[in-house]
Amino acid sequence: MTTIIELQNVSFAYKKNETEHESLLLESVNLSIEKNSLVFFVGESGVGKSSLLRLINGLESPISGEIYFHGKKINALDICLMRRKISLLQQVPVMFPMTVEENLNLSPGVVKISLDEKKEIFNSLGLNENGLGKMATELSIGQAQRVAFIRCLMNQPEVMLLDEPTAPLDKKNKMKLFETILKYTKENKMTILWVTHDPSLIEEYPFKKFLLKDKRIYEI
Amino acid sequence: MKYRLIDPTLFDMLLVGILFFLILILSVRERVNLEKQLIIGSLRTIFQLIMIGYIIEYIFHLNRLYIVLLALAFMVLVATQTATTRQKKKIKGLFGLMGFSIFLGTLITTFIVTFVVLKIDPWYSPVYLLPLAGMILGNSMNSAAIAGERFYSELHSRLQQVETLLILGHDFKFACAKAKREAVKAAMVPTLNSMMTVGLVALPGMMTGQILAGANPVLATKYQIIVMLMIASTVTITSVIFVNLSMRRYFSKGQQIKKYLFKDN
Repeated sequence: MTTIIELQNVSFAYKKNETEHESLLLESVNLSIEKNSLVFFVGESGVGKSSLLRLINGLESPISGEIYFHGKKINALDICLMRRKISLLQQVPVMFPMTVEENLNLSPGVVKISLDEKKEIFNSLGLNENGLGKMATELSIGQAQRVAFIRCLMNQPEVMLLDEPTAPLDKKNKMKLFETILKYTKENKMTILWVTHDPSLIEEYPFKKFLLKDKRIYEI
Repeated sequence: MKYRLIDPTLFDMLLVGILFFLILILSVRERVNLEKQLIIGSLRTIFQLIMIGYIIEYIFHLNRLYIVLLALAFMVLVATQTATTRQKKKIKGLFGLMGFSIFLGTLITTFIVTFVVLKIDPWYSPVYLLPLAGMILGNSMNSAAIAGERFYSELHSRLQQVETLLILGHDFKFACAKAKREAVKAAMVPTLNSMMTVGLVALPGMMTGQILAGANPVLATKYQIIVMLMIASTVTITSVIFVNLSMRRYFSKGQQIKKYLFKDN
């Protein structure tokens, strides 16, 4: 199998100011993610699960070590193009005060998906296709999360980084979103890095799991 | 009718004190608690204006290029310092960014007004250059200060949106475009508002001064039109330059927003 994302000796802490850092969240972490795989990241709150995804998305830089995408250092790549290939779905969806359709169009890669395709994805996620003209800020958090997911898909990413996207949803919608994500990612041969607290997801699906603990990552 | 400017005697000037006591009485009676500031403010007004009156008279008398340039440099420095102090967030290199924006905004407008429009001769003639550049500089300073403050607060309140746009693969310029627009707008609005009502509610200071000094009201109007447009121009140029230069300081080279700059101190 081909490695798509690799972390070598990565240490990370958030910046306190221009020169100082907070205490270390990750220390000399090594990680290798195979192409087209789905992996879960679990661990207690504040251990650095979201930070790990932010690092891979290039929203943060490691203090030391390197992160590779397709064998190339991410800081040597065009960061905007890379973020379209490695898409991050945040825990709390951010909707802009415009229509759902306009929110979807915010993705720079939007030209690649037709309106019919958008409607199809929309319907399959349990959203009414007529809702495209609705104000995005009026959506429920569950609906907004699904719109945010479609917005990520618009860029046709190779890797999806999911930061507890099902956390704000009820059980029914949670499983529905999970099944849809599985379907789309499989069809589009995507790699998924999924941060979750949800035991039902972790136990039910036989995917590789990593535990973040004491600034390190362990495969479980 | 021949215009004659009344020259108030020292005694006449002391009579202005009536207004000062009126403010003082009202301030005490209404417990506004500003008596100390009022006294200091009044003393500073008298001292600073007397001082500047003599300095300007001396500069006019000398009529030397280097003296005019020195005076302008001093004015730019004070304007930069004032605008910098008014910023809540002291980003790296703020003084330099502020100084450059104010200097360039003032230079462009002053050049067009004095060199192209009025064609003053010599070009550094302090009688024209100092008051005009002073007016331009004052407005440039205010616009840079307003734009800077507003840009920071807009970015602060839109932090999640800005980061979402970065995540989607946009660059930082696109991500903060809305905040930029709002900051420039905020800097321009006071000037635009005054352009809408100028002459309808009150005559502007410069026009009033010229009329009191005996100038023909039509001539005073011409100058006031120049002044209004030069203020609008400097406000726009300065705020656009400052916001465009300072936005880079909020992002790292890797198109990451420096979140630590938005932590409450």
